[in-house]
Amino acid sequence: MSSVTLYIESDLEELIPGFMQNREKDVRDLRIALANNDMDEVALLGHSLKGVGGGYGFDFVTEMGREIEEASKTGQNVLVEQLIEQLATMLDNITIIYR
Amino acid sequence: METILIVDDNADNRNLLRVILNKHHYTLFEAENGLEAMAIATSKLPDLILLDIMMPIKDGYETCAELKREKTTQDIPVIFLSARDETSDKVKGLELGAADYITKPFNKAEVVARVKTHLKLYGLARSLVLANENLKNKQKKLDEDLAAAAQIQYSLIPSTVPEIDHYSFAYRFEPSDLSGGDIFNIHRLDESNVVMYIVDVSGHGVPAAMVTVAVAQCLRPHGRTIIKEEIDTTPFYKITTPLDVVCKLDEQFPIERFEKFFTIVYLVLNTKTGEIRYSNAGHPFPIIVRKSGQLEILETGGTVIGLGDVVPFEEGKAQIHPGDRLYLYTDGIVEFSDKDEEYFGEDRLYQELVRHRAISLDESCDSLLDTLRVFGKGLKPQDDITLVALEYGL
Repeated sequence: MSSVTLYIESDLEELIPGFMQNREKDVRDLRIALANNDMDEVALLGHSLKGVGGGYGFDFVTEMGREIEEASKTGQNVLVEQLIEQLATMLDNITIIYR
Repeated sequence: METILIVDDNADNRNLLRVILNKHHYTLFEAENGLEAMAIATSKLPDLILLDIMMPIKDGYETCAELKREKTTQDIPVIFLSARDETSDKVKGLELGAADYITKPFNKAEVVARVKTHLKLYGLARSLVLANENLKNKQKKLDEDLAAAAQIQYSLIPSTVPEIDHYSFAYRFEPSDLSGGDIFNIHRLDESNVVMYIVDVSGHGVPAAMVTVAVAQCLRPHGRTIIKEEIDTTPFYKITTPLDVVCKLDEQFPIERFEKFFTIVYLVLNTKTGEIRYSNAGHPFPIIVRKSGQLEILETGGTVIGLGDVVPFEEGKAQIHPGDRLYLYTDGIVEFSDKDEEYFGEDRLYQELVRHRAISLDESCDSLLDTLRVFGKGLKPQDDITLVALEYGL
């Protein structure tokens, strides 16, 4: 897929590596929780993503987090799996421009 | 330097807030959960707390509730910062006592603006509490000063009456608030003479009390006093006439001196002859109640002390005989008004004193005050009540 370009404030530059690492961990945790059918944990992780993304300029993380939380609360496990993988792919394909 | 405590289990949230708030020069503390938050809040007493809700161990709601229960932390403004964006979440947070609720993902400018607003409000609230404390302390000091002035004044009032053959004396004194403006005395001047006087200084409180003290000093029985003068020939003293006493007071207490004026009735009684000499400066007229029940009002008088001899003072004479009574009083009695603003007045006073001719002098004083109380129907007197009485026994 084509990459998404994110414009992020230069103030946050030094936080981004840590942020990215944490998001990748979130994806791993989501996969594990789903495999264990621990939908409460999935909802919690989704909720957390929803809260953290936008502030850093990663609006898609907020969006995906919201959808994952929704889907897990309504028992749509298949959708949840799709969303997780979509998030993973998006995280792998971003270009960041600091300004 | 204002301090802010950031509470969030997510390191990325904490980091972001730290970067944003550092730019505005706040000192920051961080906590990962409610437990840490309480520990830091109670020890550091930050000026504001940014509080996440979804946290392990102790969530934001519980933490907020606990902060508001703790005396030391209950006034610290709490701003919830949460991805829980339902109205019910916000209502719950605000009902727990939070000052504000910002949803995540948050807008940097919004967070800063609200933080600034609440810090300012908190600062203002604390100033108000401080100012109030100061005010209370000042008031307490004022009350203490007032009580001290009252103590001084009470010390000037006679504790006993003179014991003189054939005469009995009585007095009643009921100040209207902590510090009255009335002062009086009855004492021997020498073997044959007794002085009685009442002074009523305008106003109340500490200023009036100070003037009464000064006047009392002038009129004191011994030492440097204006009521007796030293002379070169036997008996080496002369009793100052009432007229001269009043004139000297007028000289020493012009109204400009303390911005107070006072009234005085000053009376010298020759206990051997029953002769009375008196001078009155603006004061209610003394009353003689004869053995027969007839009244004589001692009406010779001049204006108040302090106006600088504008109207000349006068001296009057009277004569009492065995069986007669004499009453001096202040206008707190005749000007005592009841709920309907009707004054007690001289007529009622005269009636009362004549009516009580049959009972003892002391009882007549109590009776008068009882009648006043009944007249007032429970209303407190608006002014000091002073009554000084004597009876020439049979």
